[in-house]
Amino acid sequence: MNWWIDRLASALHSEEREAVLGDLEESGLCGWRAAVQVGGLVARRQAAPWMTPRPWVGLVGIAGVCGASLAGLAMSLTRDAGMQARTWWRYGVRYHTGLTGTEDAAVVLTLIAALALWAWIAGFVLRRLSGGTEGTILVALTGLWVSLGGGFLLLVPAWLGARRGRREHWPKAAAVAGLLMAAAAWWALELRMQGLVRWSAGTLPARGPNGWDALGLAMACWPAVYILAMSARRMSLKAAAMAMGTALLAANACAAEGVKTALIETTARVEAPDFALPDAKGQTVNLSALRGKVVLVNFWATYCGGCKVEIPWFQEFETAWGKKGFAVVGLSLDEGGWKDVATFVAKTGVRYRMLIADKAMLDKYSFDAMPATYLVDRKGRIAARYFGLVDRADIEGKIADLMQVP
Amino acid sequence: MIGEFEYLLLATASRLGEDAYGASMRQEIERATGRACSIGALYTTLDRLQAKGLVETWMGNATAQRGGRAKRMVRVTESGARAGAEFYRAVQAASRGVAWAGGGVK
Repeated sequence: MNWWIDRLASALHSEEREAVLGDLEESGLCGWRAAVQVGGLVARRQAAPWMTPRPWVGLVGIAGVCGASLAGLAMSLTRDAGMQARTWWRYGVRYHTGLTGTEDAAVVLTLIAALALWAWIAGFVLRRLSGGTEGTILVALTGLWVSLGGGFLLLVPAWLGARRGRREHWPKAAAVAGLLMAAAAWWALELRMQGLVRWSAGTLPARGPNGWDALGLAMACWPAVYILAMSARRMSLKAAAMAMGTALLAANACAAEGVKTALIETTARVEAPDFALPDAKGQTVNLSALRGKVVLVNFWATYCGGCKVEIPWFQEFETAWGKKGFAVVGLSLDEGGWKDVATFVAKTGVRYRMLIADKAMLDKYSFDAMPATYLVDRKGRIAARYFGLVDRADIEGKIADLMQVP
Repeated sequence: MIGEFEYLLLATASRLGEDAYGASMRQEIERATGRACSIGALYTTLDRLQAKGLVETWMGNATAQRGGRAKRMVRVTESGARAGAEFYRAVQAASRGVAWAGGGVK
């Protein structure tokens, strides 16, 4: 038997290869006739898994969805690293990102580790979903390679993961590490954004990772969720669909569009209704006492989901700009008063002024949706109104604009 | 109801008895039909029949004639025999009175 027919038959299962090569020998078939026979069987075996949905889920879900996300992050990382390398090569200095050298290294290493681990997990799941034949894994990996674009180096861990995918067990530890890496990557993105704020000396607003970043991380992490679902319940494609759906829905919820608004013309602005309410320590807080500052007045309640999303942002704003003439006042509408609010404040670590709104306040600030947020300019006039969850970038921009006005 | 190629495999394996394996079945089918039978079609259909419980297969002994390689032996199960008989009866019933089936031509 020709060596190349042996080679072609190596794609078959060992027992089948033995039987087929023996049949060819016995029938006296050799050369291209034998090759056609072996090739035909190999083609049928490789095509069989594609008649089921599993490899298609692997191809679209891993190569398409997950691969696209990994590629986006990898390209952003490559761009930053390239800029660093060019600056160092040409000028002999470090490209200033606003971060210290240690912070820069931590960000880069965290993202590289996260990408490599996610690619490994993606390769593993790809192998499982592909039905296990060499052909399906080759097609799926080619798809992944195309979708990875600038992140083609990720093919190495992906290929290693695919090789590991031949084994029976589900790598739960790797999946858990993959999900923890999402938190680490989030921290790295946040740190990179803080660097940008430092680099711009505060002229660029402090904006953390947003909903789209969350969506990207969810897309990158769904194979890890799939592994955990499979190892926990031994479910089939339903588990994959549910895991992916849950991850995407969660990320989509984070990515939900917030309310945007325009600043009211200065000539059309009206004075913000004043109030004098006691804070948790019993000290009276007057809005008029904050005249000269840009004030964010936020009506909220502990039972309001959108409120809980934006309150940490407002805390970040006050931390960043509190010393530059900015203040936040939170007005709770909880019927339980301080009893409800104190628990929430203690749990979330909110440090800005928190008050309990009274009925007179609601009459003065007429709104019918919660959360309701007002931006008050330095002269004590209402400059913007947001009814519903604010768009973080939009409100940051408006605050920055108001603060530039003396 | 099984397909026609599945029937051919069942009938051939049944006739060959203990000598039923890949090469002998392929040769027998080609002789009976006068058409080429590919190894790909033979082995994938055998897998299907095995999955349906109509045949059993196992690896036999290696022979010098086959370059020291083992055979994939085939045996028709009881279910396979019933399925073959059912197919044959259906073909007979459908062919009754048909010109090429011989006898009873209208």
